[in-house]
Amino acid sequence: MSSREDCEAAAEQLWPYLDGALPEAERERVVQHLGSCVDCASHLDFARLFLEAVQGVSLPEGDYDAVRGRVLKALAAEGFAAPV
Amino acid sequence: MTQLPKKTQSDATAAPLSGVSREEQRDRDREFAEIALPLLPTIARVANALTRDEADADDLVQDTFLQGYRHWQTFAVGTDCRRWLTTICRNEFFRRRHRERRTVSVDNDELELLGAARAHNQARDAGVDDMFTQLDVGPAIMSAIAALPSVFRGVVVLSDVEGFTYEEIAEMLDLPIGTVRSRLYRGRRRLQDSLLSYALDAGIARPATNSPPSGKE
Repeated sequence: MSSREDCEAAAEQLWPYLDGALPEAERERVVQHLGSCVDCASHLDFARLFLEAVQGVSLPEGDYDAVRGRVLKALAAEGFAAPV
Repeated sequence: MTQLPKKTQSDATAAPLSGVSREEQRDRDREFAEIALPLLPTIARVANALTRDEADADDLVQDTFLQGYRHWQTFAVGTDCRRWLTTICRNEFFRRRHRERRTVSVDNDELELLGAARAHNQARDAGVDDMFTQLDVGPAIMSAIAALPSVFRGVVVLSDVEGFTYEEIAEMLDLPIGTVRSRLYRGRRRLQDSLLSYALDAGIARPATNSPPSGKE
């Protein structure tokens, strides 16, 4: 049976766990708790779906056209010639 | 640790390519175009995270690529160019700022630590916890990222869009790792709040009759 403290400790680690930022011992503790607590496991599923959605976003490359043009112009002044 | 090219010239108009044969320069330009230039969006995002100002960021991107081009001979082809350029970008930024440090409040950290579970409880209570399967949340996330305050947007983009680790971001932005984590969590919480509103507006909410108690927030 999980205590409220166990659940809070696991909840604090969900994002670092999914980010791969937990030391091994802490990661093990989280895995162990998630294996025995349905509610925290459902929090993990939600957190994973959220992060996958954010990480799956492709920010528009076109936003950088202006600065790209500026960089190429500055490089050309240095002698850079873009390959054709 | 990535080795940065030693600065041999500080004059932004200097031309260090003298003494290089035409063929060597053509090869160098081809390599630079193929390896370095495609990283411009990443460097622009790093520059935005550092400067939090669009005009300053554009200046920094330009200087980063100029430094990179001038010192391209110190880059070992096959190694991590993204890291090489981001290190140049970071160093260039702090050189300009004369190592001026901005202090950032890390209060409210405890609230954010529970963010992942808190957002789930809120979504569940509102009956929209299946929003990720019911909706295309991509456009809403893009809008929400764009609307984030720059202090959070920079870290969220570096972590969740560019895939840098907490440690890499801390080194890049010259921040304690706890501050990176705090900004990331707060940024994510804001994104989650935006998504919750988006899901509610989309009308996918169902009565949350089977909600487990949400006292674990």
